[in-house]
Amino acid sequence: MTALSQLTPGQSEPTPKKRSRAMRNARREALWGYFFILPFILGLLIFTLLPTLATLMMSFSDFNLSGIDETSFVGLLNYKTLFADSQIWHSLGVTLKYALIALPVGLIIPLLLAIVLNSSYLYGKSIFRTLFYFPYIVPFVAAIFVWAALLNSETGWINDFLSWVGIAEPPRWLNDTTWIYPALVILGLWGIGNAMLIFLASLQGVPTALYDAAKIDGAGWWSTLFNVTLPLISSVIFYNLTLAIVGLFQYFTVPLVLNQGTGAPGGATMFYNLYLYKTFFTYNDMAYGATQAWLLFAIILTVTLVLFSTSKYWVYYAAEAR
Amino acid sequence: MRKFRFMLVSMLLMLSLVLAACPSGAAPAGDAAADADADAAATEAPMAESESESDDSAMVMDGDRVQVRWFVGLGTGSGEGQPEQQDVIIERFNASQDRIELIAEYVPNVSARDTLATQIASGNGPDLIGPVGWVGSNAFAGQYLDVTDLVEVSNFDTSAINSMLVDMYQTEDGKQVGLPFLVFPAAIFYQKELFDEAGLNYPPASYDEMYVMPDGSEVEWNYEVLTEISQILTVDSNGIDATMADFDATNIAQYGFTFQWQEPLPYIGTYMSGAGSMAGDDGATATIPDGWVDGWEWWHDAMWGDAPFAPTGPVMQSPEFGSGNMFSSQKLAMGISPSWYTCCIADAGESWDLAALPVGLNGVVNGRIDADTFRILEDTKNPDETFEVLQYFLTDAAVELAGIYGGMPARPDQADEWFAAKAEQFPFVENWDVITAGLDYPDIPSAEAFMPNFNEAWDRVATLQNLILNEPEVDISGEAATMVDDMQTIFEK
Amino acid sequence: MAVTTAKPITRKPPRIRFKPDIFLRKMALTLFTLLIAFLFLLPFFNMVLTSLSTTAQMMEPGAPLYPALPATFEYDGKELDVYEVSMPDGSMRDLAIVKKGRQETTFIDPQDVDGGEIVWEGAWRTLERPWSVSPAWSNYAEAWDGIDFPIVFRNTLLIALIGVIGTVVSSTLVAYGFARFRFPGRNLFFTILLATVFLPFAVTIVPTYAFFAAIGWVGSWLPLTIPHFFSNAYNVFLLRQYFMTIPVDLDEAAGIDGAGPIRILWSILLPQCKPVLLAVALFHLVFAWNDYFGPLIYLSAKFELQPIAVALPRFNNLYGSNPPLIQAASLMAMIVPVILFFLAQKAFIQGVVITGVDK
Repeated sequence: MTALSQLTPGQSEPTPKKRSRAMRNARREALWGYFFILPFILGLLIFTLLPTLATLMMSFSDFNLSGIDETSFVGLLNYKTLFADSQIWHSLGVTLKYALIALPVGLIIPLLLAIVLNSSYLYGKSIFRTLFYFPYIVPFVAAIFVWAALLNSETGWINDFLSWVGIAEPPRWLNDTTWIYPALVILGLWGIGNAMLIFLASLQGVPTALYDAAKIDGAGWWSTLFNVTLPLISSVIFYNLTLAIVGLFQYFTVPLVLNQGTGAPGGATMFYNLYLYKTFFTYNDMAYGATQAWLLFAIILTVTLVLFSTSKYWVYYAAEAR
Repeated sequence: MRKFRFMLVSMLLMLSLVLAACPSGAAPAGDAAADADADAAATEAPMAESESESDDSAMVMDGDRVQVRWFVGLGTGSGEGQPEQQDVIIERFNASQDRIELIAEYVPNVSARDTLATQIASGNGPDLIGPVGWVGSNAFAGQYLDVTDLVEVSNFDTSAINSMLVDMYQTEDGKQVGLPFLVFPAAIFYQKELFDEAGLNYPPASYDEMYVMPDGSEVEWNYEVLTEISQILTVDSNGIDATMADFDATNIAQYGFTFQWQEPLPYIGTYMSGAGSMAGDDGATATIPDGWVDGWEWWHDAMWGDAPFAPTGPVMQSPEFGSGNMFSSQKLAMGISPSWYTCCIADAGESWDLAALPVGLNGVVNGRIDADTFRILEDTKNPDETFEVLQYFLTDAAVELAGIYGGMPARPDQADEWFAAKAEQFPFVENWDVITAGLDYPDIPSAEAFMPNFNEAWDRVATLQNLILNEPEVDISGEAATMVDDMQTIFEK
Repeated sequence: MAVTTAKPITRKPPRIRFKPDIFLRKMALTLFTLLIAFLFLLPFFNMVLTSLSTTAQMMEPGAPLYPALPATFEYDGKELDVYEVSMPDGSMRDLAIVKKGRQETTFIDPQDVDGGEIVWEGAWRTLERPWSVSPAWSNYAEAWDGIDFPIVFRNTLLIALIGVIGTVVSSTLVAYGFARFRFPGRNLFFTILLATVFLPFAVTIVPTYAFFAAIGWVGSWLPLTIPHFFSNAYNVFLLRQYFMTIPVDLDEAAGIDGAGPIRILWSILLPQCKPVLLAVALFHLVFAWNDYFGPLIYLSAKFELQPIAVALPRFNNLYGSNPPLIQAASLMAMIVPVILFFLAQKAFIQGVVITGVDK
């Protein structure tokens, strides 16, 4: 409808009559606009803004679902408890340890796969594309049980294979406080299909002319990768990275299903969000949970802002028509 | 082609929708009943009469009946085969009167606590929970109905029950928040065949009996002797046992001993060194009772030491050894467990028996008695009807329920009936007396005694337990000290 | 390396000539990728094999990988295990164990029961057992009943479909608003929309849960479906991008002819958006199939309303000691989304590409 609100050609100066009609049209357009985005506005209010504010209020009180009437304002008490709670720091540490492995794996492996799938030296590309993507569709609860069987330290195929090639004491994966993180990453491997596909599509969008130019300049495979490919898909890398980080901080359903939320082995899977879930739904300590939630929000916001502000140094947007 | 695919997909979806909707019929709750009867573990309560969609609040009237919701799983009751047997009792109860409709929810034990917590938090709690021991009860302390008045009004006769047991369920402020129903003394479950194969004598069938070693000497049956015997009973895949030099600890085919589903640290501490509360004498100071750390170190050594004879955490979970139910894999010679373990012993073969617990590190026998009861939630909307169900459970259905749960009725007159039923179920077992004898060795305070912020505190202890089960090298006393500090913080929340 | 110089490069298309070294490279890479794909999909093989075996096989050391059962022999009312025993004369006989012992074991010969007991010196644990192929198809029937698959499947499908309708309708409307209309605060609102992606759900979950509990929606499908009727940031973004690639000319023409905005949306824009709409629908379907947390907290008490994502872990808790059943159930849980994917591959992949690449 934008056309209607513009000046009709041939007129250099809007007459009062035309201008008020333009204004009326503009207002009508705006009203229609608001009408159409109404579901979003309502949803924002009911499911986002109000609950967020409520949670903020809760974190300053001692709210508890079974004693609603006795709620009182306690100021920053919850926050003091929060910063003194060693379990919070432990949980953040757990999340970080996992992120250290999961983030690179979650970005590099799909990228490598995409590069392989994009190579002209590959037969049956579309078949491989399907093969690598479709496990992403599998419900993660099913994937957990299936991979966990493989990772079983006594009877799983992975350890059988490792013993067979001569490793005397293969890692105890799901029962070991250090190897649980690689195990969790392995459990999540089936989810790389989505990122891989996105990378693949963006790789296909890199103009071959650039590759040819690089070849003529004598670039080898490695430098082509670093100086041509990566910069050109950096916007997609940035997108995947941001989503991965946001998802990482909220990671908890896998440990929840895997170990019934006990944080086994030995507290090594007590992710921040898992601890938060337990605080809310098992210990029923709503106010403290709200405090945890806001700390999480602050962390995510900070990291995202940092990421966005550094993006201009390494992200290259090809189509800058925005 | 794309259009065709699109149509195909949408038709497939609609077809599956129709197919799925057809057999389930009109009411989701009612029809599952037909399937559930044939199942190994029903997940809904198959009620021939019930077709109502049960509302969230308990005050739904189905016709003229008041609905009473019974939550099973905090303790025993939702194991394989148990729901069907309980359903029989439920049907009988519902058929015997027309004012109350009893509906049961069977939740697996591992998730029962969390599920119930969510239900209560959303104002959607059940009326009756049970059977539940102390851990389950403590998790929801303060939320139970005081049944003193109900007892008076209904003239329920509590005199037949051992008064000590009745007192156990009174809180400090005199509220009667439960009535004793079942007791489960602990004992050693052992596999005769494995002892035969090793050429060993069976463990003593009664307390104060001596044990006869292979060389003929008579010794006191304590944890040291148990260690030796268990090492002989732990065999690798070449038939070499743990006492021999070329024992291969990475390839163990059979183990000698474990605490069967008794791995929580307070339990192990109690068995080995005597009862105590982790909340101290005042109930608010985090402590580790004397000798418990020694017991934990013995336990860790049994799993990870040079001559291991107990399965480690990973082994216990592996399918090769029963996925947690070690004794039933028939690859375990001895397991300590309360008598409710008979619920889940179906696969253990037909040559197991019971024996006396060994003398602990502190010089005396330390037993444990799990006591289960049913509890009415304070928020129930139908206290009278629920109490009526409770009475039914404690009287008419008591022996039957006791049989299903594997516990001894708290009422002496019902105990004999119970033993008769057990003898029929497991005709090859000879030493049922050991269980009765176990009543003389209760754990007071209970290993599951209340602690402030019980759920969180219990979880914190579970973290150390998990470490001990899974890590070969653990500084147990160091970790225990950290745990005490953490628990103190939790107590003070 | 000057990447920006635009040298006119003319290349002839490669001649189709069989070059051995190129071919070898291709084979090497293809085989390598095949290996990776095989490893990636290994759990499927394990799952199928396990689901057809039994706990008896899993507990027996030395069991083969394929579904099989060890031989047993019934004698005197008891079932005896059969082992392959090497006899003094060098041959191997299948004997049934009667009495186990550390140093010597007593067997009987199933083929020659009256021949009496044979005492064998040695450790019986070192002996192998004869195995016979035996796929346990009954596991599937048992898992089907145990997890109550028809009900669970129906639940999952209904929750997903209602959500699909909700999200497609609402996201289309909202995206249309953002794409085709100018109004004050449009950019602000759009930024807020995108920002909601970064909001951790933990910050909103408790008041939302309390709200639903207060209005009595907990224990039903409503909290899982109704919120999708208020549009979803990803879908709105996707649809908006797509709308913006469609020229406004047709819109204007229709507008001049007197069509209102709704008419324009319905008759002009939507017909051109079928692939994207399908993609949105499919994405939500997969999301709903996978959604674990929502059903967990809202349906924990109502087993008959639970979708598969929650029913499967519950099944696992009940049958933890029977891994073959668990694997059979997991297979059933994943088969529908996978089949759906294979049928609608193009739409999926197109949707992912549009969402992910146009940033």
